[in-house]
Amino acid sequence: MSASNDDENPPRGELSREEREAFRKRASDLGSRLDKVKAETREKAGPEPDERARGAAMGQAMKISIELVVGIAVGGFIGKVLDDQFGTAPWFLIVFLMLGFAAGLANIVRTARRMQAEAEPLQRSAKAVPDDDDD
Amino acid sequence: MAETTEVAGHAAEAHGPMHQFEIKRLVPLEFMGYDITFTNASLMMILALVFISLFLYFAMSRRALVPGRIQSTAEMLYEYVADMVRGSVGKEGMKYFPWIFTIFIFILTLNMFGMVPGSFTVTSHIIVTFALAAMVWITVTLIGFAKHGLGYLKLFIPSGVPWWLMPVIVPIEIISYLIRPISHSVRLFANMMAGHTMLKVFAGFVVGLGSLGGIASLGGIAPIAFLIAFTGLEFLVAFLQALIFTVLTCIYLNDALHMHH
Repeated sequence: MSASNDDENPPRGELSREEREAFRKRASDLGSRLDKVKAETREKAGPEPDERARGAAMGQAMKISIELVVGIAVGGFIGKVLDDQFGTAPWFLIVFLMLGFAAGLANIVRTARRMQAEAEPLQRSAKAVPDDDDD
Repeated sequence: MAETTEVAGHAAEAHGPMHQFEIKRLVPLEFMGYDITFTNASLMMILALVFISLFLYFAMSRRALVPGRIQSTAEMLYEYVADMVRGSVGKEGMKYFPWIFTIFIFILTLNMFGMVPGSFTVTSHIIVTFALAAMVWITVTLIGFAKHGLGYLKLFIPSGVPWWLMPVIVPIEIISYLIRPISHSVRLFANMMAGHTMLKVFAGFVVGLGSLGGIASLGGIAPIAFLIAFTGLEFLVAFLQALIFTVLTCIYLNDALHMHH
């Protein structure tokens, strides 16, 4: 296949020069249009990370709150059983309600500490964002 | 007029918001004096198992280098759980990956099956979620003792606590360890049951307001709009609760393997 052949009648399945030019132009057009659309969607999606963070926070809140309820319920149950067993009502109930409350709190503190450890690197990287407030 | 209210009342009785949680005996069975009746809950679990097996089998049977739609779904699931295990347990956690993946996909499938109208949500029964949570708790405890021997009991003695606080701290730590399977199971069960009950209650409002007749029937539109939004939220909750259950399993496993307190 010679180079002179290239201009006039390209063999089947190959592109002539004009077609190639047109193709390149179309591709770059498409690229710039895609960039524009991407930028627009990024702008529109502004509040989305916030929404997602709120969803995650709700999940964490649900995860934590049940711990306290269960702690008190189990503490109360253990105390009640012990009281029935030894006829010492209501002393074991009182003691174990408090222990159960403390146990629930201990679990909550543990979970919160873990969440904080997970969030810390994120917070540190967030600080690097330049402050663009006009104050 | 009185007749319609009576009919409506009867219908509400038969299909109240809690009707969906009813266990139905499909095939009564007995084994050595124990009641092992095949119920609609058993049916849903078996359906879930069949679905999971078929789905994963067909997804991976072609093993294409460029995955198709089903195959990439299966691969995504794998990657998702594998990342979770590596992230919260570390490399040695991958030894327990099949177990954790099974827990995740089983609960996820049961939750999602529960979203099909007219089906049964197995995970809205505390005994099922408690059995799962108890399995996790017992397994993790056994792993802890196998790995650290009696040293695993040091879990109940936090470091840096003065000796005179021990009589208070140790019982608290023991109780907080004992309540793990309960909070673990109640969380999943309560979320699933509350959500599904809410759906049914609001669906009841639609019927109630819609049957008022005339212009008042339009009042049924508001609960329908709420129902649509809430169904979307319920799908999210179904996924989220399966995820939370699995993440907590990973965290407990991590505690047993590494024990840094």
